[in-house]
Amino acid sequence: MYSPEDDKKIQEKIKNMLEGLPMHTPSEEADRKFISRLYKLSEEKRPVFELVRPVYRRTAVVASLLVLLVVAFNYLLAPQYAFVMNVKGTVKMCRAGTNEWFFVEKDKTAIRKNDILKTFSNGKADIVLPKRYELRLASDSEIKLARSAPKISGQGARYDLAKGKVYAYYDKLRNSKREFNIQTEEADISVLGTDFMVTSMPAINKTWVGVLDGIVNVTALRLNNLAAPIGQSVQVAPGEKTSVKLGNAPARPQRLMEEELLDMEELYRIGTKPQVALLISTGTGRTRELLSTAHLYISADRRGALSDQIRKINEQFGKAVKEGSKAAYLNNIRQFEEIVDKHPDPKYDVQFLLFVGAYYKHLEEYDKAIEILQRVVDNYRRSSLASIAQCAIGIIYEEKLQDTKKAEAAFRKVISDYPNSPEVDEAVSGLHRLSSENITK
Amino acid sequence: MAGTALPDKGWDGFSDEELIEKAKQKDKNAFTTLYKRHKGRIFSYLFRYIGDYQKAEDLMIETFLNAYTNLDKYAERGLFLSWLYRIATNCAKKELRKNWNVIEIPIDKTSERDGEQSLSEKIGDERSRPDYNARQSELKEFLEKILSRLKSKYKDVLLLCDVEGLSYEEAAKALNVTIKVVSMRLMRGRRMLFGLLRKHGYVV
Repeated sequence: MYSPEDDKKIQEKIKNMLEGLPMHTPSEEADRKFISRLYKLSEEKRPVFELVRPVYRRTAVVASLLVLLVVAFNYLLAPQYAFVMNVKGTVKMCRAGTNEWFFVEKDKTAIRKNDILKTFSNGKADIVLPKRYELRLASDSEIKLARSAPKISGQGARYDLAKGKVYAYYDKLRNSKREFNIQTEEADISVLGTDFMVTSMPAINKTWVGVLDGIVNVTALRLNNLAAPIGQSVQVAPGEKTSVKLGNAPARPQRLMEEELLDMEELYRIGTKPQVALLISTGTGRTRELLSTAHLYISADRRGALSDQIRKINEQFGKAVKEGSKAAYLNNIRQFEEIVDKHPDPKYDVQFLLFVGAYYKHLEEYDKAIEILQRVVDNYRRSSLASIAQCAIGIIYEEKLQDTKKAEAAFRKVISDYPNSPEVDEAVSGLHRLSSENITK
Repeated sequence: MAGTALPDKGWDGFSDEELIEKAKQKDKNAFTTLYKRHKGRIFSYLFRYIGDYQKAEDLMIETFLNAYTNLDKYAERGLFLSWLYRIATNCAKKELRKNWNVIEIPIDKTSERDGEQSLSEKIGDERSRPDYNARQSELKEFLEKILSRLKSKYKDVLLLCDVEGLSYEEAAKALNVTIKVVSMRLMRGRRMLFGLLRKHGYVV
């Protein structure tokens, strides 16, 4: 470090040294270069855009933006194409506006508006719009894409089934606000996401609809009876069916029969999640149906993990039935319970648990049955099937455990908590029985 | 070529600001006069900054062309030279960044050993030495060389203030720093330069 005095001298010395440095001059060549470039700079053409008057520039920008908007809008509203996949046997397509049929042999053949797809006696094909819907066309069937679905909002797709069978899986979650329609000569079937089958029998002018999941609206298209409301519809719930004959209103929905389920099974294995349907009716007697060991229909999960587990349980179930072994049944039922614990899904849990509860009751494990049914009441209050669980608890207490006090409490809870449910009638009957028993005692 | 000769009369009577106003109207002659007026200083500055004659010429041309193109951004009256130096400094720094193998000499913390003769005593009167002129010439050459190798922030202020004669305020505008920063860097820069000169025997 320098002393202040020395530092001052250093500062002065260096300053003087530097001040004494001579100025340098550029060459004349540099002058010439500069002038040349300066004049070139002045003569360079300005970009065309800058030559245009500002008002015209603004107009050009606005016009470009409008064009872009129109293009984007058209793109978003343009239809999404579905594709024909998994073609087996003889399948043909006729493009809209032509009368020429061609063989569909390759996967990912697009199907556009008004195209017709036809399967022959040995043919089958899927129509897939990824993440939206999947249709499986059975043999000897013919279907036309009557309306495509745009990429964003707006109506969903509509297919006209001229003849044969189609099984439809429509992703509810992705299409919650868009309808999907299948139309036949007799009926219009519309859904907001579900899993169902439609059969068109033009020979007898009849359309049949079976539902495994979700709610389907079936509307008669032509009604002969002038007194009947035009476009009369029925709602078909899971495990139900209806049919529409030409000129008539749709039949009252009824429970699907075993053979009808088997018929659907062949077309059933599409969609990506297990489809579960508790096959009970929608009427006041459904609790009793449940407790008489109703059928639980489960599809295979395409992804496999859960599917393997369910398949195993089904096999063991069959075995238990053959053996007539309670232990085997119990073991089987516990595995069903595990599915709810390990693979929870609010869509299916209630149906699984109701089935399990009913089976415990069938195996005379009444406390266990009530425990399972109570889980439904406690954890799935908003489910439309919770009232069944509550009513079933009352029936088990009344008829199996002879606990009239708890039975009465359970029936009263049905009336107070689920006043609009079909179980109210059953609960009222139960209370009558209990009170008349008291009288006779 | 038309317009290649420099105008040597007529425009010289105008001040920088008047010429700038005319140049803003795309008057090439006015701007050429500005070039002529300030090219020496800008070139000297750049030559010492870069240490290469040819490159310094190219950077000088680039500096003036940038100034011409951006004349509408010049708004500070009376500080045209500072503005030019700022453009020149930016051009020079950009050029130096390309030559990444140029080693900048860092600050050298010079210190006196105890017991040594004081600098005042050592400096003495150099003019009495017989080889003074030759030494001076050598010294200037060395200074030019060493200046270009200094770290940017000290080189800037030394060149602008001590060599080019800009005031602290003008240098601060050129470098976009405060006057205090200029003053501080100048002092440290001078000390550093002194240390280097002493190390190489140009001062005692």
